[in-house]
Amino acid sequence: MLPQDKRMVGIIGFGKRGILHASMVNINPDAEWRAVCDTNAQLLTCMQNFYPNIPFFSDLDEMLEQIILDTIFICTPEDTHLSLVKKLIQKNMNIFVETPLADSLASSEKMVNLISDKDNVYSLGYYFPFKALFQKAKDLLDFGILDSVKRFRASLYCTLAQSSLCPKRIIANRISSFFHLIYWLFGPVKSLYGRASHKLTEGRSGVTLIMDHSSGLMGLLELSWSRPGYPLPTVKISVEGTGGTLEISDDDLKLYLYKKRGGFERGWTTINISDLSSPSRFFLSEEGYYEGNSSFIESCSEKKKSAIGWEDGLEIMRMIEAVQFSIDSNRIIFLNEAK
Amino acid sequence: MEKIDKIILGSNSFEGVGYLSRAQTRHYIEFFSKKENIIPILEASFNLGIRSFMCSNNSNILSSLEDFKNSSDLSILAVIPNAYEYARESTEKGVLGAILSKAKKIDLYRKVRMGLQAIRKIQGIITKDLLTILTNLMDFEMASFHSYNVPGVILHGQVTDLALSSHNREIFDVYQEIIRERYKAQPILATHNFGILLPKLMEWNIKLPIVASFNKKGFIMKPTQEECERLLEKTDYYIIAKKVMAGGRLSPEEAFPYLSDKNIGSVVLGIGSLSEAYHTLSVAKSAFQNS
Repeated sequence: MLPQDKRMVGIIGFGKRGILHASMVNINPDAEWRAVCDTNAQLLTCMQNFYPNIPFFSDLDEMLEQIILDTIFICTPEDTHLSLVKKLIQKNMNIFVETPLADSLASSEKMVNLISDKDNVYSLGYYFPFKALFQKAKDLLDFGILDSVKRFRASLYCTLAQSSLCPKRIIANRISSFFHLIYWLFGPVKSLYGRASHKLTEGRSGVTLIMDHSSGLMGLLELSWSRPGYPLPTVKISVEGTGGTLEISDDDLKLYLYKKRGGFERGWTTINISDLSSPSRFFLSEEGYYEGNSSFIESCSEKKKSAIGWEDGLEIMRMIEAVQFSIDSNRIIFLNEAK
Repeated sequence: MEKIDKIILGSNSFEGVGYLSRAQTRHYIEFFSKKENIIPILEASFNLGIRSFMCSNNSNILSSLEDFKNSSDLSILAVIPNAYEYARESTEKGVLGAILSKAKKIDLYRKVRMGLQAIRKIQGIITKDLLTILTNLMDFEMASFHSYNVPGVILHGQVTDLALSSHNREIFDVYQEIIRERYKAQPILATHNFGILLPKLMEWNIKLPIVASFNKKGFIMKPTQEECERLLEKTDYYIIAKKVMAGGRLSPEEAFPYLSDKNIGSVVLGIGSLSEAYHTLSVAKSAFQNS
């Protein structure tokens, strides 16, 4: 491959996610990591001789002036995304943003408006669609394995530190990833009703939600990030249809069919995560990261729409704002109200 | 290279790391938070003739080793750094915050045992570069093992793979030099990306034992199971197989025949209960005696 055929990548924000993206780009034959920018000079000093051939910048303008780049990963806190994107749009870059898309619905809308007439690739870091087990669940639902799907129940439990120690952005990131999974599996939400004892992103809280999807599907969701005994974020989804049920978790899929369908026998079938081969050629940290990263690079190289776009991120921000609005007002919120 | 035992007891389960399910992980974290549940497994393994133990400086494991009467007869293969602990903490505190937090949490008793020099090093790292941090981290973590026989030191897979993706051979050179010179031990690399790491080490002319996933399901064998098996067949590197039971999805009876015709020097086996210790280790001993 000629060097000009490789994506020339810059990383903004060199925390945990920035380091992961840089590492994955560095192993991808279709991309070349060329520079990194972070305002934390201490961190840059610390990391510099681990990556001796990579220029480190604490000023974004300097990086953009001095290094030829066509693709950027933004791995900074969400309240910086809009201002960074405004600058990068002018430079005609492909942009990958870590989630959530922005710190508010208004900022997210501005970001999507900024790219409305642009031809580059704009993606963001939701990883459930790149995990083999969730991809299989999506394939089965799209195939119509349950015939007509009527309703689902879904939960996300984890145990985070007390609110004073747990940055809101971690909770915001987990909520937005979970909402994206629901949106990706079941489509857009028409209306929702939520109850919670605290603000959505407060540490000692949980939320119960009823969602009506545009497809007519109804869902009951429970989220808690202070539930004891869940050191790892744990997802469970149970889908009921006229043809059977599908139970989805981080570990396996359990399918029950009333009659033989789609190559599956009547009764229970369990598909374990190890039964599905991940197509990823590199493993770092967790399944899905390399796949999401390389899918974006591939979209940039082939100039095609990314698997997950900023419009999806905007829809998730609408859901999050609607949930908070519903909790505050104690009423059903139609998502077009949040538009 | 000092001879490495055929069968090595692993410590993932003791550190709350499980691959079967979230429920298993939760069980391991709770169950093995008590050293009373770790020590019987160390005893059972010892009684079955297992003399090598691969572990990090997890505080529950260190406490168990202190109370285990035969610990001086064990060969400890130390895994550094304790990446799972840093990874968990770094979600909330950032990468450097997690390292500093670890230093602050060490109780006075352990500080005295480790020596003040190691503590000073970790407290001063924030102003230094990452390679210096890594070398200081090695000193800091190795101090936990100073009273044991440590013939080998394994660079944690997540760190090896991060270093591999940096394409910076100096990291591997610094690592092996420190382990050989300062600790008179065999440097070993763990990885989840055997098929990418091995060709790179050969290109750099770095020859070290490698701990890598090998199982008949191809579980975490990157870039592909076929590529890993092809490289394994021809290599003269010493290979220690891990995840041989595909994270608990294969029984020992299903898992070991796959390994019997492979170019594998040792296996490391994680154990989740006393009954599992007797079952798995007995089948492993039988399989390796016949191979």
